[in-house]
Amino acid sequence: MIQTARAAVIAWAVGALVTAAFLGAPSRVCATAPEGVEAAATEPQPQRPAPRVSLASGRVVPRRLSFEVSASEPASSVVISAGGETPVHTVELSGEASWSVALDSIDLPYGPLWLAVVTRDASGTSVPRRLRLYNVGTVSDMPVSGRRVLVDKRAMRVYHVLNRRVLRSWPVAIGMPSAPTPTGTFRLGAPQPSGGAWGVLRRPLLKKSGSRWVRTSYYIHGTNEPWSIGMMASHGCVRMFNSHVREFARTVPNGTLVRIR
Amino acid sequence: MTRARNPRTRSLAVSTVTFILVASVASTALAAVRVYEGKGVASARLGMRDSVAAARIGKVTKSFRDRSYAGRVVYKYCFGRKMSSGRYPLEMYGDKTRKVFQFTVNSGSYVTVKGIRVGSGKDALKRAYGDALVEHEGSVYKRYTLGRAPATDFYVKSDKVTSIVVRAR
Repeated sequence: MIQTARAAVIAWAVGALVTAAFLGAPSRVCATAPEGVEAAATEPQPQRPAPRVSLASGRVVPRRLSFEVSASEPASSVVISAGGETPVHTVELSGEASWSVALDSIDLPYGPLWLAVVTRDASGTSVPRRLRLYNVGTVSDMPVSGRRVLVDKRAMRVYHVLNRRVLRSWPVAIGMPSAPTPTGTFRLGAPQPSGGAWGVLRRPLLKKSGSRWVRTSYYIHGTNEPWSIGMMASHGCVRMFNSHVREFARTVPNGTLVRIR
Repeated sequence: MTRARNPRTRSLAVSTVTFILVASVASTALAAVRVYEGKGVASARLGMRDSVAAARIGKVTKSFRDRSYAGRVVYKYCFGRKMSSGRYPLEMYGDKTRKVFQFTVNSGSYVTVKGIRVGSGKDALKRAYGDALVEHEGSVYKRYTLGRAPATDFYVKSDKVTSIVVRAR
């Protein structure tokens, strides 16, 4: 009887070990180095200095962006990449040291993005010039002078803008489609300490009614559900990470106009 | 005093661990609850009375009237054991008329009709639904929406599905 039980246990153990070996096989396959790593390592490093880039529109940009690129050395082409990797625009040149490049036909990624500009020649590729830009779609409701908070529901981001320059931006959660965040112009109320679903603090949004600004039931506040940031998860309020809402309360004065769109 | 390491004991321990692993994977696969895109979870459906829908899904871990937001009345139902992230595997929302308007799936134990679950890759998601998915850029997640209203959103972070939202609007 005992021998039979022992034999059964050994048979089961052998079966399990075979299963383990079978399941473990893919991990050994993955252990080999992926193709292309060696090629990337031997790629020549950029030698030429980064080109100079001047933006006409500042760092808050509309969909159509135009700017000027210049370099101290002649180049055969200038390559512009948006969002990191993929080149979005390449301009062939005839050896001039200064060019004016218009990105009118380029569909820039929405929201914050890194624009990288490099020049190329037979001698190699320049060090990239990196620019932090914010494509907010249309800038017509962003004042040329003054302070504004822009809540962009499409990008799920809040921007703190001064003189049409983004000082800081933070990711947010907005209302569910069944309880959407209202659009329009509001005024920012004073921070109030809070807890629970409101997170560490909340700031009311005031709406103009006649000549007065009256309180609405909508707030910009922290959260106790940090995973919801970046989702349509709230019931109409604008949620931020607690650390971000603290910074927001510290840096954005009371009474600042808030544009939600 | 040193303990002798018996090879048979060791192999038995390895096989036991392997068995537990295989059994847990198999039980997860077998226990997967169906998510019907644009309709509901298990036999609970959007638009159904919340108490009826909750009874159809199973044991409610937590339910409350959520009055924290913007003066709206929302009834929230959480199902399953609270995960380490603080989320529940399944959340259900009812409006002031007690009609279900949203299901949020946060766990891999729920699988859509096309085989997508939390943890599935972005490529698998695109293969499963193809051109029917509309991609939305976001600050933290990429959102892929299926349908208009009712709709199903797949939130993707680091090329993995992190949440599936079935919503009425």
